Amino acid sequence: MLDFDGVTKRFGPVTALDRCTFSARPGRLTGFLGPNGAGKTTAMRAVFGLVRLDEGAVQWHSATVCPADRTRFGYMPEERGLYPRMRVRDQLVYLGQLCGRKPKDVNRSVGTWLERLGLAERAADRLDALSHGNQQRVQLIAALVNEPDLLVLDEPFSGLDPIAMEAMAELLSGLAARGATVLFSSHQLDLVQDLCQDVVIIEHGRIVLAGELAELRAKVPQRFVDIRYRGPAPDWSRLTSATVVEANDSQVRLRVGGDTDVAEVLAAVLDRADLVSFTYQPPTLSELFRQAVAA
Amino acid sequence: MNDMWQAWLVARREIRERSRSHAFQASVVFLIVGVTAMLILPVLLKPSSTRDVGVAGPAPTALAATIAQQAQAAGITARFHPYASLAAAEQAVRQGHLDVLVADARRLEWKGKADEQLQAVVTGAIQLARIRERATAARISPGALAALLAPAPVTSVELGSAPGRSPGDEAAVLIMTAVLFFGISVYGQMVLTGVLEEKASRVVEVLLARIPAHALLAGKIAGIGLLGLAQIGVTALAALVAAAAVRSVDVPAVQGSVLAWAIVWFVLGYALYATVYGALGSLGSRVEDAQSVAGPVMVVMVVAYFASFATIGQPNSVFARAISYFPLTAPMAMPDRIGMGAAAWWEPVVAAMLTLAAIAGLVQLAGRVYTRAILHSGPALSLRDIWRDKAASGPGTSGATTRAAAPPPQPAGVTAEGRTMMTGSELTRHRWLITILTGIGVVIGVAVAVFTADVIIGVAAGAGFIAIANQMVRLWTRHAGPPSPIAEIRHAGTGFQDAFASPRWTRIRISSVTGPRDSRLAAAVTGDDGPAGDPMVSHKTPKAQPPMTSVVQCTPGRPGRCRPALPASQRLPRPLPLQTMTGAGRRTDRPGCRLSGSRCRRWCSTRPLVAIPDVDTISDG
Repeated sequence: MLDFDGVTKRFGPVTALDRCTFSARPGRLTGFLGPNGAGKTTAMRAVFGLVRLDEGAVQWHSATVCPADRTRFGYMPEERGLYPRMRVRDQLVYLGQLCGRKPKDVNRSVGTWLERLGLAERAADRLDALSHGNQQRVQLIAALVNEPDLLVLDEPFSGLDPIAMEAMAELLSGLAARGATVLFSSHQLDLVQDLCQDVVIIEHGRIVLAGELAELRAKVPQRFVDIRYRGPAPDWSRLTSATVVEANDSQVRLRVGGDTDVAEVLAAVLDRADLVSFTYQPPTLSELFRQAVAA
Repeated sequence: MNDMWQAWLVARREIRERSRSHAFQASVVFLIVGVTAMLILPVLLKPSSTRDVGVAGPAPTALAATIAQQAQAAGITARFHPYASLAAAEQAVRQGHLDVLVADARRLEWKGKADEQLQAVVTGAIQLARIRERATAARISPGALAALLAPAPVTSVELGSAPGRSPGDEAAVLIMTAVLFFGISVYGQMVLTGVLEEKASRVVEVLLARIPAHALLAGKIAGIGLLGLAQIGVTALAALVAAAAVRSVDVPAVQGSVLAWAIVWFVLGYALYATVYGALGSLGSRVEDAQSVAGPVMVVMVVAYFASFATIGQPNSVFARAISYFPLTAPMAMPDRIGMGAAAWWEPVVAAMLTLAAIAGLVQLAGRVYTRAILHSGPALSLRDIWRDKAASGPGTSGATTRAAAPPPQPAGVTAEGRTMMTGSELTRHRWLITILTGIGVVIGVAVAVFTADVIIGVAAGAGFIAIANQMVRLWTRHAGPPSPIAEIRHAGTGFQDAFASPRWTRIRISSVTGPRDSRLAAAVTGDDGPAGDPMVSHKTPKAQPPMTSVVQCTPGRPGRCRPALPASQRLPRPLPLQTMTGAGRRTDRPGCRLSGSRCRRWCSTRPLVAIPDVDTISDG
């Protein structure tokens, strides 16, 4: 369990992290969201002692993180980087050994990961001989080489093609299923919504929303109704207790209260339009995010 | 898992990777071949010591034997060629078969200019042969003759500049100083570029998440140092073997203790300068920054090198004593004094202690600089930035400084980039500082000249002080190198990528986008396939020299601050917090610039780069 406990970091006159408190739990994927410059990278760096905190502490299993803990952490920084002229295997073994693992164990896990990500035959090549995508994979292995209990990934999905993204999502879920704590930042909110059990939203250094995603979505007192229909557009404004969020040619998005009876809305819609599809759901993560950040 | 073990892993990586590189292997081979050639070639090319002496016409009977005897005493082997006729003998001289022809035992004939040594030998031999002939004629007994001719022994001694040391020793000390200087600077600069490479390739963040900064720096310095020692050792071994093989070169009588101290001082000097190089390396962002961040140290080293020459000439002078204790010069000056036999046994020990203390202090300082600067990206930092702890506030990757909604008042002269820029008043102060330091330098020069009664040393001391002081002021206040070709776009609207993905820019960074349009922008950025994605998009396009762009924090309408150079219709509905402007250099006040206020004036040009609100208003001039 990773806990941020009132973490505050100021850079001169700017407060990058303002009394941040949240947790990332083992066995779960935690999405760390926020606009650019909100403090995500600073917070992630704080886990690894890369920024000196002004107040508060980052805790691992209820004790302030110490260097020994960090040997059990994996980190993929936002600015990717490894030694360009070093051979892939040497480089990964070196990084594994820096975590204090035995050469034998390191060799084994490097071999396993290279095999698993399809890089086994490139192990003896220099890193700069690899394609961009493969370099990204090596970077990921660098974070995984010590079989970490806590994995912190800064924008792991950026620059990946859809297939690689899926593979990455699968890999992260697998790691979490094996009991690892996974915290990653992303701007792909749809992906985060599908993947993560927990989210943390940060804005201007302050945590504005944190918790279990399903709960957070359910807690919002609004529901959204998406309707697709045939024929001319009816006058939605007559529909009681609903407001039009967005209306297009043959579809409309309505906002209703959380306590609205779905059947009632459906009946009202059926009265007015030739219905093609109808969904009723709590706000998506994107909507939660927009609300939280705009507030 | 302790720091020492991690540092050792770092050192081992340095040794392995560097010794694997072709450049390093080539340098080892080149050094060995070069040193061996320097020792062996002079012997191979040395002119032979055999001379051909022709004799024509009547000559004293013992002449040949006497010449041979005298020549041997002078280290020459003489070969005799008797000729029946003078003409044939002269022909042989003209064709180069003979070095000299003794004609009628009274004339020496040469092809060209006379060889003075051979001339003396042959002339002496002829004299001697004649004297023997006359003695025999005068019936002087061979014993009496021998007594008469017995040489009165005269020896000559080379005193050198210090008692007990010959000019050969001085030459050896000179070579030792040169090896120390080049060793320390070459391996020190390896540390510098190594640190810069780690920073430029961004691997440093991965490393620092695993090991402390001081272990990384220490391991790097130790690894390169060990490699350097090994390389010097191998080269020295090759030199010894070569010298022993040809056996003709005088290996000056270098005592083991001098050699041992030289190694100790190499280690100390390297540790001292490599620490400084490592710290300075962390200030730059790219390998090209190496020269600008490390220039001052190079100047100091060169000054120390030349100052240590003075200790060879007068190893007991006050100046020599002083610089052999001063930590920055001691690594070259103290071994010189030891080599010249001018240092008491305790002196190098005390100097080594002082240097160790200085190293300990520098390690603390360097650790502080390194830790703060190593994760900073963007333009090279100055030491003053580090002192004020601005380094970490550079957005680097986080963009944390650029909170847009309500920009807090920034201290004068600090841009949002975390780089310190001098304002007008600071510039003036900076000039004053240089002027004062130059004055002090002149005074020091005059004082040294009067004190040592040597104008050249005085001028050197004064000029050295001024050079170092200037470099220090530069290092402290700003960056010597050209600004990094980075355009920072802050708070841009959507569609900016197209506007800026022109080949004029080598790199465009977008950071800290906030406000109501953010989600749109975030989407735009995320959709981009730039390598870093959001929140920073790097477009790497063909290299060109773009105009420097800086970010100015503006609060519209506040007295003393700048106002955005946008027509009212294009302004954002709320105060515009950040404004990006181009500027070609430091002071670019130009007519047509509509920014006002002393803080911003330096940055503006006639070409507002980004009209912030929306894609429609983006123009690059």
